[in-house]
Amino acid sequence: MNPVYLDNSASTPVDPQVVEAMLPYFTEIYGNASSIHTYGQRARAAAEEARGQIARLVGAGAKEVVFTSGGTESDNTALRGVAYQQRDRGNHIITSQIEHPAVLSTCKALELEGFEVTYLPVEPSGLLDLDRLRAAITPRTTLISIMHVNNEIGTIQPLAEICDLAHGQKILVHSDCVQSLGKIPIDLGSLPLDLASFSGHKLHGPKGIGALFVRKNVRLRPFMLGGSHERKRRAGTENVPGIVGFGKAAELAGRHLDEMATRVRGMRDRLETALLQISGTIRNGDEKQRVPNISNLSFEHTEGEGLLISLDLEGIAVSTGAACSSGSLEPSHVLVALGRDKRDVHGSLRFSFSRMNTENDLQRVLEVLPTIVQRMRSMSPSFSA
Amino acid sequence: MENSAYSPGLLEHYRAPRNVGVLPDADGTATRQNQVCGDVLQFFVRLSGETVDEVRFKAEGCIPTVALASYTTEWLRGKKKGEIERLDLAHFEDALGSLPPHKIHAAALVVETLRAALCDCGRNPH
Repeated sequence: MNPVYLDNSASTPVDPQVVEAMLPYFTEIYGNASSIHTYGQRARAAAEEARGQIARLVGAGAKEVVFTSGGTESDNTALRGVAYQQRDRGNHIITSQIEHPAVLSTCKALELEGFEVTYLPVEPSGLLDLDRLRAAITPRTTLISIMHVNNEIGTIQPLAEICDLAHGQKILVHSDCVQSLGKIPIDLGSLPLDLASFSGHKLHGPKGIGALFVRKNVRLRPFMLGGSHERKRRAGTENVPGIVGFGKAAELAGRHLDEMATRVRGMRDRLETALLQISGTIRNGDEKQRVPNISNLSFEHTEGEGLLISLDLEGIAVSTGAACSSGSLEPSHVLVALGRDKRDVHGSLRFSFSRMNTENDLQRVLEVLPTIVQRMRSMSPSFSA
Repeated sequence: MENSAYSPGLLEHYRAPRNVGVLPDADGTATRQNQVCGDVLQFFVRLSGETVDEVRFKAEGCIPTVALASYTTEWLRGKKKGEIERLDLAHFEDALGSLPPHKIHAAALVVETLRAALCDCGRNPH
């Protein structure tokens, strides 16, 4: 039985070409990229090449890419950096209720420091209501942080319109683009975001490496203090193997964007269409405005962790928004924000594809999941066939 | 495939739960829901005097809720109903392996629901 991995929004397998690109930077070209000897300068050259690869994937200038340890650090850096830098102008930040915890927790911490944060609700589709955003802006708003693609339901937010609204009032816009990079095209040449967070391991790169796009002329106070690395925007010796791997992963992702929009979307749609044939199954999130690799479904009268472990015992990896499935007792804050009934959240599963999945993977899910759902429903006190 | 998030004992009961279903001639029944995580558990108990003759359950819940309920239906059968007092987290962990810290509430849900079903027995003679 071949294992089936459909949890690519959590993390992806590293592409063998990425591993190959990284290896010399552990054992041969191990110099500190800040050193001026040959070892250091070869490492520097590799890091700058990778910076260019990432910049090309998103239509940015290489100097606008700052390497970090991952998406979480990028989010922390963007929010704190702008909040502190612009404190004289204002202390109000706008975000949404369905952001990644890296944004929500940073906003909560900033509130303790005297900042005001508005957490906008979303529509049942998961999309932001621009009128609500417009109404939330105050003269003291300095930053709007709205994720490009939601990690649980895949919904794509209208960033261009958000930028229009914000920039008209001289407000900066940050977006957590961790789930959109490599899944859908991003062109920061035409999309005027001021800051954008990226992560390497969501697109077949290594863990522990990320980047923050900081548009030219946007100033932010550094979050990580120390040396003058990354043009004084992020202190700390560069993780050159990780950077090289992220760069290679970005280059490969760019070549596979069409495949994401066609073959991967096709697999996702076929799986979803077939599973929606099971009575009492609903889709979470907007059907159209979403990335091609995520499907989030709720199976009434089931429980997500039981579904997840039952699938795992069959060699299939997915994730769930059910309460107490990941060390927390709380159900998914995203599905709750959509207004989903608690029982729908209870029986939710996320299937997230990558280009490494095959048709056999989805057929395997279709072979086993309907039976698991039926078995769980037969045990439910509230289910009647 | 195996899964290391739970002990083999818990997974064995989850994969093949014992005594699932309604007990039509139950002397007592109770349904409880964990308000935080949403798990729902229902027990049916039939007595023979003070002795538990049969226990069945239905559940919409996570691995420990189902596994502990399944274990309990076997364990309690043939015992005096007062022996439910021996059921606690330590008992379950001795029998089936340890629970992750965020799953301890499953043991409380099982004991609470079963106790309510036993209390119901006196009130609901069939």
